[in-house]
Amino acid sequence: MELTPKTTVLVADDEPHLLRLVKFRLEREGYDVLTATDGDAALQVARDRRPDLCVLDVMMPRRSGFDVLREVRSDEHLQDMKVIMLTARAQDGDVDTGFSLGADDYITKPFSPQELRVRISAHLAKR
Amino acid sequence: MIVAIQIVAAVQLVAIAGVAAVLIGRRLQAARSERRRDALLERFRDAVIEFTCTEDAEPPALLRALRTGEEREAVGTLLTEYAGWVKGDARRRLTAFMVEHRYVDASVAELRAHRDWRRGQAAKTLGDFGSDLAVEALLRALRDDPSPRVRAAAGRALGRIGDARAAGPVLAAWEAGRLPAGIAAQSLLDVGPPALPALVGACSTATTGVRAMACRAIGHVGFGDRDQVLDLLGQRAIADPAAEVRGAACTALGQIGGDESAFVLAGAMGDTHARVRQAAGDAVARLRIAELEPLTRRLMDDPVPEVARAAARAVVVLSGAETADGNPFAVEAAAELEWGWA
Repeated sequence: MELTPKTTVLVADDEPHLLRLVKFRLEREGYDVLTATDGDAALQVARDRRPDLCVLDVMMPRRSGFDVLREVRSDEHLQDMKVIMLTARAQDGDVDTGFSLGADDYITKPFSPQELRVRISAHLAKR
Repeated sequence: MIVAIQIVAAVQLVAIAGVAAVLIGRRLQAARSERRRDALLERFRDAVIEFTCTEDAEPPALLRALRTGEEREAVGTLLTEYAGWVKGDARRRLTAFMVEHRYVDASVAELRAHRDWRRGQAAKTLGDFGSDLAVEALLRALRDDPSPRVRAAAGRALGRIGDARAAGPVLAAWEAGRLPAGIAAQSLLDVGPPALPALVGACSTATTGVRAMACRAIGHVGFGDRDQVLDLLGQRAIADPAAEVRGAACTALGQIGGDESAFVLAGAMGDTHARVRQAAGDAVARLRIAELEPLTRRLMDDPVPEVARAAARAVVVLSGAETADGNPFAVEAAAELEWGWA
């Protein structure tokens, strides 16, 4: 029997409860889920493991999600990775910034787990 | 005599040993119940997470078979930890579960506890639960509780529940100095568009801070009748006696206005108060009103740096940094825009 590699999703958030919620939901969908609790760790995991998609908080210790996104988009090995911002920053300016830096989607907290699942699935289908 | 002293010393020794034994016993008991509580939290955690973030209408079997008060309490703690992160169907399912299992009733009862920290905790928990059955009790706490911390928790919880009934009392509590401005504003933003009628009314109150905050909040929650709301903000931006309110109205116009706001913003750019001119410049940048570009360009020479900076940002947005003749604020604004800081 041939084993197919699982789709890998990186979830970066410094809030442990939220991280656990999202991880549980995505694992239930069959994804291989990696986690990071600060911006530096998120970038490191992304470089080491090259996930297919990243769910990224904005306000994190060490490096903000926007800074991580900027690095991702300028890295030739990561620039095609899908990135969904999942953040409490809901102002128009924040959303503008996220998209202008190259985010594929922007979801605000509190979030609908169903919506997150559907959007992740839609973005992964576009690869 | 010596024998008497020895007897007294022995009694004291026994008493000290007794007290020490009681203290150690209590500590051991506390540690044991803490361990038991942690074990219960871990036992139920995955079930609560599953119920929180999957689309199953029924709670997991483990949550349907709670037997003891300790189990109920552990599940209540976990629901409080996770419920606040989700919205939509997931949140509604959790709220229904918490109502059905009387978690909401228990927290409402806690709002009458003697200790203020317990009342505050209960208010916060009710906000996490998000049940509109708690609104009346929270409104009473907001109005009558003697503790500022409890009132603040109640105000915040009302916003998180998002019930339109909260808007008027939250504004009134703030105006009466019974609720901090930041919490009142956040609550109104959380209530969202249903708060609009109360906010429109608050634009005409006597208190400057309330009028200003109402204008700012309208800018965030949007509008019912667009023409009516933009007209109201326009009047405040030009004619309000307080610069704080005029500036706040310009900021709100920048968020929900459009080309039709050009006339008002042009007037505000000539305001005597720098704060208003700055807000008008920022609004022009946000709305990208091309016809105001010449006026905005002149504002780059404003003697107040904050005003000149806002004007330069608007000019860069409207026409590009290369048209600003090396104006240092324009160079700064171009860098901010490029790096996504603006």
